[in-house]
Amino acid sequence: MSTIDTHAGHSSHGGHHGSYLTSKGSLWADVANWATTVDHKKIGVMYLVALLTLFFFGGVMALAVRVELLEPTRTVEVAGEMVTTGQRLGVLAPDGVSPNNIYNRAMTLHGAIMTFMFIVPGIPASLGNFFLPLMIGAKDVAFPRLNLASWYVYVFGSLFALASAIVGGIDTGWTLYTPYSTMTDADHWRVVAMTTGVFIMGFASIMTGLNFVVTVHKLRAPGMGWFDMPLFVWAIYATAIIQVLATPVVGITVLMLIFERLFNFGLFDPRIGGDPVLFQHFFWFYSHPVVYIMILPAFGIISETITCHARKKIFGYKAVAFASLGIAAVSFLVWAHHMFTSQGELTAAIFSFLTFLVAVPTAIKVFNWISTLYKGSIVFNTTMHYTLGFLFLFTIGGLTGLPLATLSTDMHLHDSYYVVAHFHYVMFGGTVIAMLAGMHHWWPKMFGKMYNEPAAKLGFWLVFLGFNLTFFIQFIMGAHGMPRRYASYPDEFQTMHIISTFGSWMLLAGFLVHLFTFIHSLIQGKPATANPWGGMTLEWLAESPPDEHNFAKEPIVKHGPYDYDTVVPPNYDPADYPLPEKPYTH
Amino acid sequence: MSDHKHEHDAKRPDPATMTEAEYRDYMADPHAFHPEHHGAGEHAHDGEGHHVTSLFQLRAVLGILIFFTVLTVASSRAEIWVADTFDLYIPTLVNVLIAMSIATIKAVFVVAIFMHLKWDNRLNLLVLLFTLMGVGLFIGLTAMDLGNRKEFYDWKGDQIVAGGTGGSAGFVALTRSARGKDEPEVIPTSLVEHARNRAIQKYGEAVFAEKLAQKHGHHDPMPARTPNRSRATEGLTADLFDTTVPAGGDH
Amino acid sequence: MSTIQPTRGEIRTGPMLPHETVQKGHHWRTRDDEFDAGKLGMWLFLATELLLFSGLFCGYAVMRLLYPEAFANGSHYLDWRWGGLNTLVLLVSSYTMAAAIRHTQVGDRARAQMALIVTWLCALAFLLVKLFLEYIPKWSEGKRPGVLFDYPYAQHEMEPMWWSLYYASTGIHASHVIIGMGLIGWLIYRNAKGWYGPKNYLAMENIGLYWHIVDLIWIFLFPLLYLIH
Repeated sequence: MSTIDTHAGHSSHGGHHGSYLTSKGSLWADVANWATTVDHKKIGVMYLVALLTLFFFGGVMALAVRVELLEPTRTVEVAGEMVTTGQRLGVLAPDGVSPNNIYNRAMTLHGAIMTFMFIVPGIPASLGNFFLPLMIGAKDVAFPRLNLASWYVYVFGSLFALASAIVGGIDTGWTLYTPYSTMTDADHWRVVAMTTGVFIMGFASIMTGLNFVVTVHKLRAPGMGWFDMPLFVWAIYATAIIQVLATPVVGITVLMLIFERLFNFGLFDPRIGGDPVLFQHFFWFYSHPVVYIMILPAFGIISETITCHARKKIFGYKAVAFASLGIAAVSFLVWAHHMFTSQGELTAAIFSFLTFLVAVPTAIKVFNWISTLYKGSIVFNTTMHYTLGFLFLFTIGGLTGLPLATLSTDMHLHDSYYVVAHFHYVMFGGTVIAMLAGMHHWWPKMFGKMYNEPAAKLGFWLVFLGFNLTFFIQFIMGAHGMPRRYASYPDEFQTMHIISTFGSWMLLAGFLVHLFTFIHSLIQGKPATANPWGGMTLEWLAESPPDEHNFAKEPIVKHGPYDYDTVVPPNYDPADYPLPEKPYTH
Repeated sequence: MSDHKHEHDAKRPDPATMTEAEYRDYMADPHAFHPEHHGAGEHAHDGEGHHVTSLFQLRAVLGILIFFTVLTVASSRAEIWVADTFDLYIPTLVNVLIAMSIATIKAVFVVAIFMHLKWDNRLNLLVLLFTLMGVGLFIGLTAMDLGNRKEFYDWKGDQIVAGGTGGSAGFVALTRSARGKDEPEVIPTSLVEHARNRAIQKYGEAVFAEKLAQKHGHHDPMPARTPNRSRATEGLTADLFDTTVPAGGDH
Repeated sequence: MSTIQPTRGEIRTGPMLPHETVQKGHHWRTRDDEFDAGKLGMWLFLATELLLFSGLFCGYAVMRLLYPEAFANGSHYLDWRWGGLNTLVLLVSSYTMAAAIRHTQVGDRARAQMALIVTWLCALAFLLVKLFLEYIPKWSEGKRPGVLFDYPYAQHEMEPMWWSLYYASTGIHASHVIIGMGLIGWLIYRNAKGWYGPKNYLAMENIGLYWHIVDLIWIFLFPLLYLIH
């Protein structure tokens, strides 16, 4: 076993400018500094704040939807109250707005906020922005000003979209399918505002993706070849490729949709000769790859946390890395599986086949993670809880996708709660859980504070159980024929809906606990050392929180990112965080 | 010119096998193993090594591009001339293929010479090729779906007709004259028919017929077009408006 | 591969021009890295441009497959002479753009400036032809997209669809030309101030790439809209 002190960037030999969080003096100086910063870390944190704010709004909408579904016909208390309040405030027309209409809008907003504004930019823009340059030993991303511009564009686009919510919201469903998006709601401007918001946020996504691709190509530290990169970097790289190649198509789609809405352009309108299914092709050519924009960074986080907290080299590094690229490639070949019920049979058959291909690289990843755990020295901290939770939930989510990829079963399950449960298991059980894993893993690095481990674990169990309570029952509901997006339903489904709604409250409680632990940590958390978990990737060489220029000296890569079996991280003090016995042996 | 290809295969020295002295050396000069950045001298750092395209080359490419532009226009005009003079109809597909091939040749010249891709980093070429693959997939598979709605089951084919009827009933008119009115004007027929009816209302039947004849009357009636045959004429589809061919086109 | 050394510039006294003193960004190892990264970033952006237009091409392909006759009629409404003229104008501007970069590479700032101005004027000419010889006459005749359509002599029910695609694709292309004019104008201004030279021409190179893509799109739009019938 070699114990090489490789770490040129170790902070103990001075010359650093102070942490990036260091105040510039006055409050105004700080605000000005953060508003004009080109530092990827600050931009990452700014993204995180914006994202979590929007996650909160989207979550409120979800809770409203769940409350509405407590009763089979309608819940007058909530939706009716919202109607009267809206009318009193003058944002809703005095007539023609029913509680069902409110329900449709809440459901649409939940979907639109969570997908376009939270989960698509989610991990890459926040954690990716913060850690990608750190992990490859760079001082910043390739185009720092573009990075800042991306944040502003994103916020601007979100405000545009939220403006449509404030003046009453849209009821098209987040997919903006025509003719809902061209014919419902006599008021054009809300749909136009939402689609314009999506268009603008597309630019933010492209800027981020473009930046990351170039960063990975051009700014890796000396000695870091492609196969020395941490797998999170691979995942972000694959994600960035999808962002660059898929997002422009949604740009043109929503542009056409705006033309359609304003001038009845006709491309998607059968009255002029257009085809609504064409819109679905346009939309899903973007929005299916986007599903992988959402999940690939989550895979990357899991590769980091599972190795670090099981103190084990990743099993099959290249397989996991290439699986990321494979998923990115296949993601462009499967979009029409969202339209099995509306497209021609020939295409449906081809796309069904192609869809099954996605299972291959995904399964490679899951098996490799499980193999990584084998004989690892697993540390059961919050991060590991979330990592294992991810494996469990994502596997359910992935396997329940297979019946949806099969043409015959999809005819039955399409647009039912089964689909809702499936994608929540993948998107929430996958991405959000992994993001929580990443946040707990990197929290000490980002803010230089430890959090209360037992409280965080409590949060995990609430989130985990609440999530399963909310969504597992929906598989059964869907298989029994409960269609998605309906405000009213037959009485026989009520018990299951009530269970689901209780689950959503538990989920809320879990998030509140996490909010509390994070805030508590910021205020009076124990200061974190540079490397509290004994991580091997380069970001753990920086200070906690990192210096303004990341590393005091450009780091040189001399060991792989997961060489836990041969190298002891030099700045790691087991006293900070006791390891189990015999941590470095097989 | 720096070449980043080698960056990835640069053999990483293994500190584990070094002696203590070697290791100290190695740490003192961290970039030494990275010669394409630092070993090759400073001249390569300021963009002076980049390829400079000669003016002759640029002008030659411009000439080629103009030549192909003339060629594609000529081929299109020639087809019309052949149809008019010899009554010989060249299939649409040929027409499309010629025009698109010429456009592709022009595009290759622009990309290779004007955009320096011939001398550029291969990575940029890779970006372009991946993009074109994406474009191809998008257009190809989408068009395949919309062109194959009746592939398997006839009964379902009757339900799924790609495109619409063009019937257009129910639009709220957005023309200037319509906007002035208090009641929104709803278009009762197809847009084309509506425009025609408005013109007839405005000019009267007789004047309108005269105007229409001025527009299209000088064209001989041509045989109806089939999907496989180009109807290469100067004018417009004769009588198409009155036929009972369903708007779905090729059904 | 011929590389011309920047011998043209005479020995000057007096203050350095901005392009001679430009430093690399703090996070780059070499200026070469910075240059390559800038170009890679631009190519990725061009990829997004191509995919943006691919949506329009896709709509065109699908609608053409469905309504070949409406599209044949449509291309007859357009005058190939104006389209051809615009094609030539854009090709010339593409050449002058490439030439401007070449002149900058060899340090000939005055000729580069000339070439840039010609490029800008070509872009303007393109827009003027587009606006005054194509859009305005067609629009006033009632050849308009979608529900705005008001042309009484149309011969096919799907002609509004043709005009929708015509206006969408040429309109989005024209908006790119307008943006390109802004960028080239900025280049002219900066070049006058001496920002570009053999060691610093990344911005010109990238804007050139953008301008060539605008040309490239038109190379395909021209036959699709004006010639194929």
